[in-house]
Amino acid sequence: MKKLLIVIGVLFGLTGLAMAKVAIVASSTDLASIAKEIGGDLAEVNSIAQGRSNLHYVEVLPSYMLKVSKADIYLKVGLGLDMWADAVIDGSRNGKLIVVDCSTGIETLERPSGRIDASMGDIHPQGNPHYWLDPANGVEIARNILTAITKADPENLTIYQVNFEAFCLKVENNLVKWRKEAESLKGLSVVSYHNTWPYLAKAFGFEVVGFIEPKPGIEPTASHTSQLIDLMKSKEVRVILREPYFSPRAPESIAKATGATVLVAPPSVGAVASATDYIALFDTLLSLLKATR
Amino acid sequence: MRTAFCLLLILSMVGAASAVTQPDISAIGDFRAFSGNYVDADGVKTARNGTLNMRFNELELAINGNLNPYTRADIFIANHGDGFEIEEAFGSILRGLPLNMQVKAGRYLVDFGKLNVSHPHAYPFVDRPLAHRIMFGFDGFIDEGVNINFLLPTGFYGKLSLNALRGKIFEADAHGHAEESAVEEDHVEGRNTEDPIFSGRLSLFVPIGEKGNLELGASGLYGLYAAAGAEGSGSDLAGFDDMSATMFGLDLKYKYRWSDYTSLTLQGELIGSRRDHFAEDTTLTLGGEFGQVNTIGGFGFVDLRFLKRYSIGLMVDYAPGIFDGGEEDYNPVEEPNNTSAAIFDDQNSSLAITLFSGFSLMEETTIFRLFGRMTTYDIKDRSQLVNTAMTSKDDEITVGLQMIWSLGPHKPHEF
Repeated sequence: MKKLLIVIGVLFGLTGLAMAKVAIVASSTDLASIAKEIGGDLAEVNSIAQGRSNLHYVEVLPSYMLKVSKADIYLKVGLGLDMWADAVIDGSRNGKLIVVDCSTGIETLERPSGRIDASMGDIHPQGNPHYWLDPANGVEIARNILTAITKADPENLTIYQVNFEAFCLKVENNLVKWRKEAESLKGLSVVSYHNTWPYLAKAFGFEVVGFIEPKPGIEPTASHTSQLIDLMKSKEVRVILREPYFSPRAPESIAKATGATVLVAPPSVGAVASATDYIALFDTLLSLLKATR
Repeated sequence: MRTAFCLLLILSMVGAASAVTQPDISAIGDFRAFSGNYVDADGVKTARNGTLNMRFNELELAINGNLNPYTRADIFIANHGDGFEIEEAFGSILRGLPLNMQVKAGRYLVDFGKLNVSHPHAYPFVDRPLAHRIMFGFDGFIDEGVNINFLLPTGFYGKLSLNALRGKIFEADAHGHAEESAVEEDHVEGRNTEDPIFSGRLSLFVPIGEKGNLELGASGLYGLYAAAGAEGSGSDLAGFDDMSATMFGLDLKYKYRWSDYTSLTLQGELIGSRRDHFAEDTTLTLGGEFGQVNTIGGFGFVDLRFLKRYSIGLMVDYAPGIFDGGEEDYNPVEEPNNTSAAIFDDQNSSLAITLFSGFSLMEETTIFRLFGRMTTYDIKDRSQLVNTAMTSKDDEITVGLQMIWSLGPHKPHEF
């Protein structure tokens, strides 16, 4: 009887070990979505910010620290976007946590030169931080996650590598499809609320000619709005992109003055219902933009 | 405090010289323009009465940064118009310790209640609550010591925090103008013991629904504020033992967020104090009477934030003692002259109601805040006051504008 109990105990222990998943917490739903692709069934992935959250402005809750205290890996957006993540990580007390800056290896856009100060608004000295909005950068993010997850769980390295290759292939195949779909976007000029879209614009060939914010993070002013309306009229801009977390008031009043259409464009997975994962995010964005042509 | 300023300069130069060790350096200024009806302890109108007063209330310089992946250091130096002083300077081991533990050592704002650890410029209202200033000290409960805190092994966030402290809270100057108070001299002038005092806080955080969060806390403190042998406290006078103080606190914060930029906060604290007490003015042959004094204070406020940049709120604030501005006060509400011994005043009380409305140009970088405050006084026992001739005091009304500016890196928004 005693031997039987030992065998049962060992079996339960082994089962428990086999079922232990790599716990990953990401700052954003986009990083979390990519991590799910790489980790597959072997990882349990959570995101701190929700899809509709403004990543610049996330309140640090003690419950986030609790979540990270049990995690193996933390995925940061980096480039100064999720500076609040350090408070979450410190508050977690987790000394074994592998912290990954997912912007590592990314070729950033709009890296300012010369003297930088707050008179330029909420500027990011290392470049525009919305880099996940170029699908090609999704592959770099996945590579960073692969490095961390194989460090946390080296025994399943092969499975993670296979998942990584499959994700790369999925992005590559979709990229061909998306580029074809985006041919109609050539020459499209848009105005956006915040400077969120340079990577998407570069990837799919449209142009962002102005912003509703006079400077990053600065609320719209009457004089800037008036100049923007003149610019939109002169360049015949017919599309305004508004991130879901910004007030619709200024975009709608500008749209009224210019005859433009306001599109609620999701910058992250989960920001709108159709953006269910990283691939679906681009499907959603491109179908929104295509509908304006 | 020239030393503190030099320290800041040296550290900033060190930071500039090495990109690896460069800490975050920030400066925060707090300016106020205000008017109101102000009388001194003798009931005479002060120079500030009925005119537009302007004060640069505080300049705070902060240096924060990681020392290595596990440890960080935080230094806050403040000037309230009378030279620089070290408000906080502590090192913390944040990650890597067993039992989900963190350790902090140095001079710091003690986590007695939820609000005390925040610096006033981070409040949604204007000044530190009356109850804090009376029961902790005008700059809050700042002390030197060691803190250890643990995450509780529960399914929700629970934290137990324990402090062993030097006991500065019981030193006379922690409560301001002690020299002005005859009553104060009887009790705490020159704390005569180096025995540490102990405090702790248990806090629980639970999400309520998808958009609401609740934090509940309970705090306690015990220590000697005068050991046997001190004037009015020891066996040399009346045969009494060490004089001790016990404090307790209950705090609550609930926040409901409709969106990133719209939220409603309800927050409050209740603070109780029980202190051994020696009154000379008795007919006992031994020259005094030994007893205990219980006092209670607290505050509660509601703060509505909307349209990203606006806020409006109301605060109700109650404290033992009579909070009374003086002629030379730097700030109408920072340095009262009738409250030095208010912690022992279980008869009289002050009640303030404050309305505040804020506008921030861009997050915390520039904040304008309009405020109006009415303080009422309940004098039941004038023998407890500095000016024992005072039998009543008119309501004090202050209206003003506060401007806070912040230079330096963005700080995370913590619950």
